[in-house]
Amino acid sequence: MSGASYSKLTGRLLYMPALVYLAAFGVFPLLLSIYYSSPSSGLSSYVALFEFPQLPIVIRNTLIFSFGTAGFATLLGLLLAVFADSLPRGSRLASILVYLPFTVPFTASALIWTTIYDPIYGPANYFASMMGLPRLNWLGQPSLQIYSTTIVSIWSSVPLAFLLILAGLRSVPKSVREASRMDGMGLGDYYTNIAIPLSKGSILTAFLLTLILAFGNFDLPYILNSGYSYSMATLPFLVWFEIFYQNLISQGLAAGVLLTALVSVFSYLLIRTTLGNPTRPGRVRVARAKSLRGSHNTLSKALMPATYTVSVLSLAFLVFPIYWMLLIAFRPGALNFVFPPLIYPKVFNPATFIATLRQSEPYVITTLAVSIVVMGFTIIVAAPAAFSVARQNKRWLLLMCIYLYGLPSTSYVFGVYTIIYHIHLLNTWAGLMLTFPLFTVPFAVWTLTNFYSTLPKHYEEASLIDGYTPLKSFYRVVMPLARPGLFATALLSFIFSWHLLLFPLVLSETPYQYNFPPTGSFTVTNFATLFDPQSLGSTVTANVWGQVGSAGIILAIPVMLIAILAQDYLLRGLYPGGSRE
Amino acid sequence: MSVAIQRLNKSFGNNRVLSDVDLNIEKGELFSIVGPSGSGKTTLLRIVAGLETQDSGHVSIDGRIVDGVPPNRRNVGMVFQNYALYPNRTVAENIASPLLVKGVRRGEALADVEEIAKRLDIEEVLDRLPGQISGGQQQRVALARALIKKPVVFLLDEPLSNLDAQLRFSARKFVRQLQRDLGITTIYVTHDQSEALSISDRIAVMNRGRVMQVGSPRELYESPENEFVASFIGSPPLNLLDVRSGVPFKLPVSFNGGCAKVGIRPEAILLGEGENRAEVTLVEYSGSEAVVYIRAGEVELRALSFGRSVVRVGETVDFRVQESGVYLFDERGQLLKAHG
Repeated sequence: MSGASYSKLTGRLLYMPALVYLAAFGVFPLLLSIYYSSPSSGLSSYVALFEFPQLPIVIRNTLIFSFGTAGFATLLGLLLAVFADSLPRGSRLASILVYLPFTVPFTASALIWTTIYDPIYGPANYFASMMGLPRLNWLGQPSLQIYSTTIVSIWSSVPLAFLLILAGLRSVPKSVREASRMDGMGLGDYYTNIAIPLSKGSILTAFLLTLILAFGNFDLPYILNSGYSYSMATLPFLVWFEIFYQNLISQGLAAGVLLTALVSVFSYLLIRTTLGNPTRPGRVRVARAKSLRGSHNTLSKALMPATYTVSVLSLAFLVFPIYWMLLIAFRPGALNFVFPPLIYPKVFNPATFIATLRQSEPYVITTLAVSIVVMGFTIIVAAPAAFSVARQNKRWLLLMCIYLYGLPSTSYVFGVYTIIYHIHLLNTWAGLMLTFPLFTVPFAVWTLTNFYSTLPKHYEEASLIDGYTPLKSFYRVVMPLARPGLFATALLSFIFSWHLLLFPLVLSETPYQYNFPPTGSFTVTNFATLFDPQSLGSTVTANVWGQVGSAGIILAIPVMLIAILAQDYLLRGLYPGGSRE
Repeated sequence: MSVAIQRLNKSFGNNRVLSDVDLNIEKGELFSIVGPSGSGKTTLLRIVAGLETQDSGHVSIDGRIVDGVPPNRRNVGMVFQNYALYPNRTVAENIASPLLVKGVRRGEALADVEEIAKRLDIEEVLDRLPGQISGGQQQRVALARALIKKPVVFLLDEPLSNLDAQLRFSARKFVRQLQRDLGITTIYVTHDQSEALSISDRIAVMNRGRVMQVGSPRELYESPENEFVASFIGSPPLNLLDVRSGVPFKLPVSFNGGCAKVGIRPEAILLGEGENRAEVTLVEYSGSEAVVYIRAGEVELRALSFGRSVVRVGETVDFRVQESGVYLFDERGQLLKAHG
C-alpha cells in the first residue's frame, strides 16, 4: 500500500503521538542539555572540561571500555553463533545458556561481579590462581580497574551480539548450506567462505550496537566504581558525577555533549549499516576470474576447532556468574569466607533470600506498576508510528528513533530532570512513567518497523477494498496480524524499564510509601544498589553476598521467565527475516 | 547399473515418507521421479545425494553401497530447485568451488571452469555475482557447478520450476541435450508429469512414499498399471467413472462385477460420430486443440477435440469411445484389463 491510499490526516494520526512524545521527552531535553552546557559565559565550560586534568584518563577508559566490550562481545558472539548454528540439535539449549546474562540487569550483574572480584574470597582470584596468576585486587588496583569493568560489560553484551549474528547465519538458505556439503566443503569451509561473509551485515550491526550501548553504559561503571574514583570512570559516569554529585552542572553537561557527539558518529555508521542496501546490485566486478579465491585454507581449517574450544570456555564464562548468584543467595554467609571459595552447593538456606524478598516489596511494586504502564504506553504509541514508517516510508522517523535509541541516557538526564522538577513530579511514579518510554518507544518503533515490513500488504489492501477506512483497517486487520511482533516488543519494553537505573536514581529520593496516592519511586535496581558489598564491606553477620545474590535473583527472575518462556516470540518479533528458507 | 535403491524406508517423526522403495537406474539414462507434492520424491533424491539418511534399506552408486558416505564422497552432482548459488562468490568461484575444496590448483580449476562455461554458454558472466545474472543463467551456473567434478550421477531437484514458462521450454531441451552429450546417469525429480514425459528415458511415478509404476513415458501413458498412474499421467487428465451402478452411454469394452471404475482418456472420446449423445457444457479453447466438457446423463466427460470443428456450449453432440484409451480398475485401483 502506498502513501496514496491514506489521507494526509490519517497518516499523521498514526505517527503524531510518537513524534510529540519523543520531541517533548527526547529532543527537547537533549537540546536543553546542549544549551545549558554553555551558559552566558560562552564556551567556558568546555574550556574547563578540556583543562580538567582527569579528562584524558576518563576518555582513555571510555575507549578501552567501549571498544573492548564491542570487540570481544562480537568475537565471542560470532564464535558462539557459529557453534550454535553448527549444532544439528541442542542449539536451543546453547542459545538459552548464552543469553542468560542478558536476563540479568546491569545493576545486578555489577553487584554479582563485585563478589566474584572480591580480593580475598572471590572466585576470580581462585580461577586466576589456577592459571598461575598472582592474587589480584581486581576493582581496587587503579591499573586493573577499567579492565575488570570491561570484562563484566563483555559478559553482559555477548548475548546481544550472539543473537544478532545467529539471526544472520540462520538467514542463509538451507539449500546453500546443502550445496556446500555437495561440493565437499566442511563446516569450517562453509562458515569462512559462505555464511560469515554473508552475515557481514549482522556482524557489523552487532559490533556497532554493542559499541554504542557500551559508550552510553552508566550502570556498570557506576556500581563497580563504588569509591567514585577517576581512575575507573568513563564518560557517562563523569556526566552524572559532575552534575548530580559535584554540582558542576555546565562542566558535566559539556562532558555529556562530548559523549553525545562521539556516539553520534557511531550511530550514523549503525544507521548506514542497518538501512543501507547490503547487496548493492549493479556493481559488476572487474577482476577477471583468475582471482579465484580459495575455499580451503588455514582459516577454514582452524575455525571449527577454535569455535568449539572458545565456545565451551565462553559458555562457562557466561553461565558461572549466574550459578554463583544462585549459590551465594541460598547459603549461609559464613560459607563465603573461605579461600579457595566453595563453588559447589553445600547447605541450602533460603533465609537471606526470603528476608531480602520481603524488603524488596515496595520497590517491586513500584517497578511493576511503572513497567506495565510503560509497556502499554509504548505499544500504543509506537505501533502506529512503526506502521507509518513501514508503509508510508516515513524513514526520517525511523532514523530519529535509531538515533535517539543509541544515545546514552546521560545525554538526556539533565533535561529530563529539569522537566520533571518543573512539573513537580520528582519522586513519583508518574515521573518515571513519563520518562521511561524515552528508551522503549524508539526501540519499539525500530523493531516493529522491521516486523511490519515483513507483513504481506494484501491483507490491508483487501480490507480497504472491503470498505474499511484506513484507520479501521489498521486497528482491525493489521494490529491482530502483528500480534507476535507486538507481544515481543511489549515484553522487551517491560524488560527495558525493569532494568533502568539512572533515571530512577536521579528522579527519586525515597522508596514507595504505603499511602494514597502512592509516593516514592525507587525501583528494584535502586534497591539492589543498597547492597553494594564494596561500600557495605563483607562481614559474616550481615551476609551481604547473600543479599546481593538474592537481589540479583529478584531483579533477574521476571526477565528470565519472560526470556525463556517466550523465547520463540522474542526471536521472531525481534529479528524478523531471521528464519531459514 | 548405475544407481540401485533397495527397500528404502524413511519417516519424519510419525510421518512415513518412503515405504519400501526399490529402483534401478541404468547407466547413462535420464530417469525421472514424478509425483504430487508429499509423494516422497525429493526425499528419495536427497537420500541418494546423502543429504538425508534412510531409516532402512540401501543405496548403491556404481556398484558400491554408499550408506553413511558423506555427499561429497558419493561422486554425485546436484542441482537445487532454487540453485543455491553462493551469493557472495562470483560465478567462476561458484563453479570452481567443488574443485578448490578438493585441493585442485587454481590454474587447473580455472581451465576447467572456462571449458564448462563455454559449453553452457555462460563465459560472459564468469566475473559476475549470482544476483547480477538472469534466472536462466543462474540455472546453467548451477548445472556447471554440479557437473565440474565429473560426477557419476547427476541429481536434479525440480531444476526448471523457478524459470518462467517460455524459458522452461528451451531449458528442458537444453538439459536433455546436455545429458545425452555427456552420457551421464541422471535422476530428475519433478512434479510436472508433462515435463517428465517429454524429457525422460524412464519414469518412476510415486505416491505417498510408494513407487506406483516404473516405465518408459509411452508405457506409463499407454499401459498404466493402476488408477493413480492413469490419472496422474496425461493432460488433460483421464475421465474416471464409478461404474458399479452402470454407465449412461455405450462403452466399447465389457466388464463384470469385479470392475469398480473405468478410466477414459479424453482423446479416446471422439465427437461428432457414434451412437451416444451428450450436451456440451463448456469449451476450453487452446489453439491447436480444445477441451470439450460434455454431459451424458448424469456423467460429465472431458473430451479432446482437434482441428477446426466448432462445437458450442448448449449444443447436443454425438460421440463414441475408442477402445484404445479405456482402462478398467478393480476396487483397489489395480488395472483389470487394458484395451485390445
